[in-house]
Amino acid sequence: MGTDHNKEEEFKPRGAMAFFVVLLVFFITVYFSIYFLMLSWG
Amino acid sequence: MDKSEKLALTLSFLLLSLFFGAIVYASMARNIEVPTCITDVEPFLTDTLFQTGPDEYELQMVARMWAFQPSVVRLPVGSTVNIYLTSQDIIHGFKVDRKNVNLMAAPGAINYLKVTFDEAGEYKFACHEFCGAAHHTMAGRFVIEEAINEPETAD
Repeated sequence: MGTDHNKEEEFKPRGAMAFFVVLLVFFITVYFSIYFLMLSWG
Repeated sequence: MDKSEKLALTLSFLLLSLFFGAIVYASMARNIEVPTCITDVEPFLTDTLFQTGPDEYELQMVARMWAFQPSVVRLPVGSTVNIYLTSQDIIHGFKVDRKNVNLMAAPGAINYLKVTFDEAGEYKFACHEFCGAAHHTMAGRFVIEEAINEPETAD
């Protein structure tokens, strides 16, 4: 029982974290590509 | 709260702050203007273009079903145009291609925005608010030319 409990604490949601980072990079890319396009239009 | 959850929330907050800060930077440091609605002046019914300073012009534009008056505006390179836009009938839109100009033309009100044309060429504009059967024909253009003595307009 004690061993199972320790295993649960060690769990890291690696897939979810990777997905989240990809999502952030995607948002930043989309947002700033439009942002700089609008700035260049003056 | 879980460590990863806390990290995700912090990153999300930082990202939103970054986006918001970029907008504040554009409006303050880069002097980007937003459309202004002028309600204390009687809307004009005829279009006019006149010079207000060196390389600075005032354009009073009227939108109606289904045309802009004027629909062709010729100006020299480097012109800054103060656009005052109103509508004679219903609500229209006004979007200039390759420029940060996006206005609504509303009857009974005047909308204002300033734009500078640094490069020669044709900048088409069109109505982007559906206004009836011939909405798709409601368009015009700014013609920015290197060698031009007098700015002119045409319907």
